[in-house]
Amino acid sequence: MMQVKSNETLVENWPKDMLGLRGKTDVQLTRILDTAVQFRTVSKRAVKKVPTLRGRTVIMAFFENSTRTKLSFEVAAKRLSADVISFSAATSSSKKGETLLDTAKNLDAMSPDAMVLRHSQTGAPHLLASHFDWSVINAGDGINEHPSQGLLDMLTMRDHLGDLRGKRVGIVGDIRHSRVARSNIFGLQTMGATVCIAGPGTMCPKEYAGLGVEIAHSIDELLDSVDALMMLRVQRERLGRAMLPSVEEYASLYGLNMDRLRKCQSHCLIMHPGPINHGVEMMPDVLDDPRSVVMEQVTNGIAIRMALLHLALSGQSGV
Amino acid sequence: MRHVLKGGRIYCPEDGWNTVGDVWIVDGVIEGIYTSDGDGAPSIPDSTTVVDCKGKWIVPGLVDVRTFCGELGVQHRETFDTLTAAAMAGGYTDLVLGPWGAPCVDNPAVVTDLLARSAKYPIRYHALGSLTTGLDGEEIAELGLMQRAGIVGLCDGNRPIASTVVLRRALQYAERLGLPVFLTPSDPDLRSEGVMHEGAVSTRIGLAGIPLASEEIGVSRIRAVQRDTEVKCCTLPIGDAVTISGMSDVVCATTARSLLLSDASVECDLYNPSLYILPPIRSRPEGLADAVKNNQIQIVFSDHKPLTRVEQDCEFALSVSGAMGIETALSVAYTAVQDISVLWEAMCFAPARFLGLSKRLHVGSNVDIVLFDPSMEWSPSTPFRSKGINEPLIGKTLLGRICGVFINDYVHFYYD
Repeated sequence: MMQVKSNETLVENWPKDMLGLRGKTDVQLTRILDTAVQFRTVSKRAVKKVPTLRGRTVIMAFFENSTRTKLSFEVAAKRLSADVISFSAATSSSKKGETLLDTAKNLDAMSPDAMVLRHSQTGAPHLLASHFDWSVINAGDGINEHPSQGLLDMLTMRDHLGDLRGKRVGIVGDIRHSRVARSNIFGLQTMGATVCIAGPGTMCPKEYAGLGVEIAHSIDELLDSVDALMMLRVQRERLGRAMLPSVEEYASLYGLNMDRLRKCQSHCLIMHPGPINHGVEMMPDVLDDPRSVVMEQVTNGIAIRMALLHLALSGQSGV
Repeated sequence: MRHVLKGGRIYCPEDGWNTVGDVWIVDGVIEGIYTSDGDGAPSIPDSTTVVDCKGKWIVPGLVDVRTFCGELGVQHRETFDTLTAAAMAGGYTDLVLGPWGAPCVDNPAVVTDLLARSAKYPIRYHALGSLTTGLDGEEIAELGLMQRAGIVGLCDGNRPIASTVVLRRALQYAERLGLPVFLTPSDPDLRSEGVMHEGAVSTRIGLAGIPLASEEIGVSRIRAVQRDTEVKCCTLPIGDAVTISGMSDVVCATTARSLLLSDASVECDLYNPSLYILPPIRSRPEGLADAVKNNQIQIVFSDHKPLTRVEQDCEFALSVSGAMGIETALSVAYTAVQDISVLWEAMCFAPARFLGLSKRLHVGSNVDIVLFDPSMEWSPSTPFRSKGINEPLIGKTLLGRICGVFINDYVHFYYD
């Protein structure tokens, strides 16, 4: 069994749920990142499996479409030897009108140990966490949070930039509807970094100043000062709601192209949570730049999710 | 049966009362009122029930200008039995029912049925008719026939009428009938996607917000159309006093809970569906309380909307909006405002005047009295008299409580 260097007292007191990064302490976040670093070695072995969660049942409940997050959590759980059950909204009884709570009650009767939940409604994981004893891991709720994405982004940044204290991170795009941006804002600020955001006024509202972030009027204001630049996906379905005049205008005003990339610092990381709209928020050749760490983010995602499952379930009886 | 309410503060400015004294009640009628500093109080006969009212206020029962009752097809939420018990415990003796139900109150047959069902209860029930058929905001309902059937006013049912043409014509029609109208100040477009007040809290906790501009536009729109028609109109609920700043020509109402709670409550009691209320609780309850004190907001109401567990045990934005309030409104408002004369004006006399109801306390009048103890501290907790479960103030410490109610020959005491 893999040995995780940890203070067992802290694991025992670890919260059973991971609902978001808001309110987490720097000690807790560091603990998750450190644990992920240790689990990262598992994925580099010939046999990519440890028995940490052998005999534990993890349910993947994805009520919204997902490719990388769902697969990443599945891989993470399986590498920890958990039994994984997956279902999606398309194949669940929610299509027949069953409420989330009723669905969860039925799953509860099957004695799971954890549920990884993605849901279109803000607060859905909080609802289940307050009703059941098993762990709830938020894999994205409405426009609220996507904590595992925020953590994998922070791990990627820490790998390259070292201590995040004093670092400047730029996030560009549809901040208003981005749970990725929100988790990054909460997590990065807790770790001592400064977050600056940029985007159209419809997508980057002034209320975010209340979260302590800096709001730039254009992407160009950020380029030469940030240590990492995170480009968010523009959701094309927003176009019909008077959010954007056109994709072309967005690409011109806010897209990251080679001209803009040249103005970035030599160590500035280029990040994207995916999926990417090539030619909109990022030009294809930007991905080829050595400063792009988009694939590292994906790799780190598995380690972060292993850490989250391990910490949540190790805090419960049975391990 | 004779009751003597002894040594309480008798308060009813409509009849010139603001003094400590005794009120004698016999068979549902006020037999005598005697001040403590005067003379002439007769000796109390045997077999009289003497109620020690020292430190309590002897006041007319409250009037709620818009209450939900599920008696018409939504009995799983509330019935007249449960609403009556909850309302009396909250100090209300006149309730004006909103037009919601299945069917909704948009024709005279429904009005007749509703009022007939309510007639056997000790408190007085009144009905509001919907301005438009089915509350759909498209066609004017049978306002005149509903008036003949007994409605005391009209409303949009907490759904702003999207078409200004329909709104204007409905108000023109109502004006000739002399019926007062209650209208919701919000812009349907700006309200459509949000579930709480837009601001720092909604940004922090990731819920879609409704900007204050929605209310400001709603107030201005109602004001402009009202001026055009001169209909007697009340704008409710006002969520932030800034939206009526400088306006002296509008009658406004706010909810009792808005005087105490703010959008921060949604973060403190994270994603509690009892706080999903439309229009939303805004961010400056102190400003609203000041507006009530300086009479810029004339009416405070309960906005009582009981909901069941099924409607609340779900994701915040998928729950049914609304919250209970009839049992707690007075205490909530008193906790925030702490001025009984201001509150009785806003929760009793002003709504009565607006609706043409009588609230009197004089010798010979039928009894309509509640006893209010301003010193009692309490916390709302289950079970409630109402059928609802969505009380957002569970566990909060409130100040002031009703300890007795006298309506005609009905008498009930609480918390002895």
